[in-house]
Amino acid sequence: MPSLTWKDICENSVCREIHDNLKEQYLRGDEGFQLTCISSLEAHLRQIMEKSGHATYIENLSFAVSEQIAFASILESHTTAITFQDDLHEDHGVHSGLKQAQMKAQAFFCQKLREIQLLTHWTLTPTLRPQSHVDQICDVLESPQPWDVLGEEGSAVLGIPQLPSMVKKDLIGHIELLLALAGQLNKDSHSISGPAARSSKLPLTLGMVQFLPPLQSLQPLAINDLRAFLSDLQPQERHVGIDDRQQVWFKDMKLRASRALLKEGSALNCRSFLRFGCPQGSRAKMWESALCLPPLRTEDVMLFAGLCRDVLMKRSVTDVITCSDVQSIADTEHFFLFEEMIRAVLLALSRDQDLMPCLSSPPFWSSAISGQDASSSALTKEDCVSTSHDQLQQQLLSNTILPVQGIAFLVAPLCYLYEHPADVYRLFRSMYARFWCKLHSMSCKVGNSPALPGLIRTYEHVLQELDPEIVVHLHGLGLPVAAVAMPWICTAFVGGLRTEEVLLLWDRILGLDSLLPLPLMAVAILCFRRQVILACQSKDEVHEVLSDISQLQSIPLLQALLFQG
Amino acid sequence: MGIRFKTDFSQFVVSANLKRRGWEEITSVLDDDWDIYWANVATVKFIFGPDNGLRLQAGQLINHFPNHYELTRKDLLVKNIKRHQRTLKRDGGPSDDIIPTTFVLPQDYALFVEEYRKAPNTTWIMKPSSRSQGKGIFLINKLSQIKAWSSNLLPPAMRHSADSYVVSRYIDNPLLIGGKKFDLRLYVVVTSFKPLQVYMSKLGFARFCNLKYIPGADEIDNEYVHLTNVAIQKNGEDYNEKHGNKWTLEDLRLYIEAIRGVETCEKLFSEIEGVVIKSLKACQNIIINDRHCFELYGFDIILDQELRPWLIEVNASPSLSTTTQSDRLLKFKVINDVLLLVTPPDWLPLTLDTSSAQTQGTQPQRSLAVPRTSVGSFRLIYDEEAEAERQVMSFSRSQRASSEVGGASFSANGPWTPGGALRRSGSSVGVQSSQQGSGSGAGSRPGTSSYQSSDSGSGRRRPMSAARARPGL
Repeated sequence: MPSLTWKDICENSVCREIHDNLKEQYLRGDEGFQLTCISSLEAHLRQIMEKSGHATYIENLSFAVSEQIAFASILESHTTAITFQDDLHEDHGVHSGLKQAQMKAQAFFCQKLREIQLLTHWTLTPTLRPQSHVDQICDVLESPQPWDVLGEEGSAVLGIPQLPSMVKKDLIGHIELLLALAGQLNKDSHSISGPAARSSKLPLTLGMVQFLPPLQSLQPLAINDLRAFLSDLQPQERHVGIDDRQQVWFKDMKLRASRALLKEGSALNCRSFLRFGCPQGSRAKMWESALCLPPLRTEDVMLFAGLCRDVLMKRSVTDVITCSDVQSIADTEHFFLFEEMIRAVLLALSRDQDLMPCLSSPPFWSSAISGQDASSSALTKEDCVSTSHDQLQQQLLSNTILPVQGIAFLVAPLCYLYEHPADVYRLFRSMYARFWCKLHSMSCKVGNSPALPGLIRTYEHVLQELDPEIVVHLHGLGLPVAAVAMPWICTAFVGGLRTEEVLLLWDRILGLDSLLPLPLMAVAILCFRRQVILACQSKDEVHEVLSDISQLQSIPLLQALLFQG
Repeated sequence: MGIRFKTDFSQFVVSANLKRRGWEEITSVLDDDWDIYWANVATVKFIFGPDNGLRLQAGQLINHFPNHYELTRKDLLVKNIKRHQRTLKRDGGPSDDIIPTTFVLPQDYALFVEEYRKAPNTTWIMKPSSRSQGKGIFLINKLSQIKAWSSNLLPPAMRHSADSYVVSRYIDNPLLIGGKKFDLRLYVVVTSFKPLQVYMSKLGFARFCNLKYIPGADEIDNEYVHLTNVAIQKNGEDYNEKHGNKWTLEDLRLYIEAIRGVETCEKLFSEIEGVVIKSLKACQNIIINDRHCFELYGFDIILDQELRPWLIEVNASPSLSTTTQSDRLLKFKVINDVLLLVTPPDWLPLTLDTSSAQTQGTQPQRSLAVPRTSVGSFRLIYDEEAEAERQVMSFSRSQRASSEVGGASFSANGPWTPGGALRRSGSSVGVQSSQQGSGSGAGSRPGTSSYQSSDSGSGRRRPMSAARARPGL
């Protein structure tokens, strides 16, 4: 209903009339009358909405506002007026352990960044390339689209410098994040050679041992609360991902239902629908709808093209890191064809200035640390870098999405939904703002939609509750329980489970508006493989038996974990 | 005596599959007392050779039809399909092309020139009639490039040489994914040509080129852009050994469902089946339908941007060498399923519990003649008798007609194998071998469930049992 906007609604004469009427009643102070008035107002409003055909529109509007959905088209320019970073305000109350972890991660990260900066002589600030290079790029750019150039020629056009092979090209990986959470990440951590050696420094669990405070104070949902929260997953319900594989009629019925729902266009209903899984044919539209995104518009494509052009003209040290992360896609069985698309999407994301203010959780590198702390912890011996430069850097960091290891995997499944990279970009940006940023956050958020610390805590808690024997066994082998699941959680199971299973799992993430299915899935896998895990005699054996989870089905396993036995 | 097998193949996926069934391998060249022979085409040629006095016994199974080359030699396939199309057209039936316009050189040179002149800017692809793995293939867009094949220039003796070429219109608008061209390798098993019974596996893969596809004449000589054969792509700089530039059919279906819609995807896969069936029907009357034979074909199909499938070629000996881990798993499963499909169930007594064997025995014989609709990853996609029956039914003709069809199917080939009916007719044979099998392999019973389905975690079954096994819940 493009004809009706927020403004129209506010100025709608009927609304004003009712409003005035209500105010009058209220001033008169008749309490009994007030209640009847409010209920009649509700009924009246609903009637108006339905009559005018704007019911869904208004429902979506209130949904987008109350749910604080970033990039909701329905809010248009009002987006900025809404504060999305509600938990930034809680920052003062961040548990000191988590705050410590965040500072450690940040310090580690700044050092790493500086190292790569020194090696490449590229800066964090996107700077214009040398003129000769710009000319060269302009020549290439003549006919094809900028994203094609970005993706296709990859490092050749971008002139990504070759780094010595022993330099780790990712800024911060899963293990480092875990180490930070354990309070064990030091600036020299990166000099320890392999991730294996580094994980040996991890404490066995992060939350349950008394002397490891960072996660201890987080209160995860109790098992029964989780069951209630995920009650739609019960086996009595029919689910896409199980029943559609056995019954053709159910598959057809789901497809028809999804189409009817999309036609109706209610974001809330789409979200509820996703809790039961969505057929692949309607998935892209259904996800868009649940995130209040309209169909792709020209301005979306223009925006994406502009960001791509920006990358082509200016270079930033983050490009080096992004490209090295995307490289890992080339070797994956299911996504190798999309390497170029993913590269373009992620490079564009690093230039997107609108994204940071819309994140549902602040990433660990953003400005949450006060200036003094940052300069004292992050910048110690690097005298050559001036303080003013550091402040600039800090400012930039709080404005840029940085490529944490594995971010390319989070884009990859979306390439199965769209042909056009601008579509992928738009959906990824929305999903990053709502979900994936939580994987890069040290926020203490718990409850129904926790960030990384809360997810890890939930994982440990549920595993301990449901299968303590595994926990004991892993302890015995000296393997941190969290280290087993961290790679799965941080990549949202992409590359582990088969693509279809990943998409089915993500349906539930969108449907529940929470990342909780990730830690639960991890526990479900461990419980499913418990016999083999318990038979393992070493850490390596455990890694070995968990390295291939491609034959597992996500939804039945989740059901088995929560609702059987 | 247990089941004895012989094989010419040393590849793991074949030998391991035969051995894990507890069958005995015959290594002596002279020993012909095998129950199943996984042979190469040269052996098959010898076995069915007119000079060879050998006669196969009832129940012996071999993995090729005597003259499979009618389907797998490119020139003969073209000839057979063209003839079939003509027949269809004459009968007024539908006759959509399933192969791109093709001529056999040198015989059809004049016809080709005529066609070429109609659209001089078309690209054509030249392939040797009887070579594989992309050897000798090249693209042309000028007549001068193949002047040598003009029959006038060849000495008469050469005109019908075995080294003939086929020239086909090049599909220059292939469906691209990630900018890359691909073709499909599908596994098809024919258990009988008369009546035609065709199974297709849901396992299969798309083979992608290393480099992005560039339309037009510029890159006409770059085989890494145009030819999808693994044997060629393997040598490319960008070949990736971790995934071998392959996608599973499942991935492809997922992608097409989202990009082109569920209905289009369904239509595509049923059209692909149509192409397979049509090409087999084209050769149905020419192939010697020896009841000892079954055959596993590798069908190569290219999709164009309108999602129309085109048959490229048929291989009677699809590559069984493996390049990656998933490749190995896939091919192992395919061979396993072929063996499940073509051998009588009593060759595998461990997977068949006695209760189901009894029910089978008490079923009326009529139903035994009905082929199984799905075995492992294979699904019956064409059953000529059922088709015929359906047609008869739709005519709703007299009882006589339908009983005739029923009678025919009863006397024809068995449900699972060309030789099956005969083998089963001596019931003592079946009993004997089933006892033997259960005796020899009873110890390994727990492992055998994977014969039936090696999809771990499939359906609800396993997670539930896992939950049950866990006392913590």
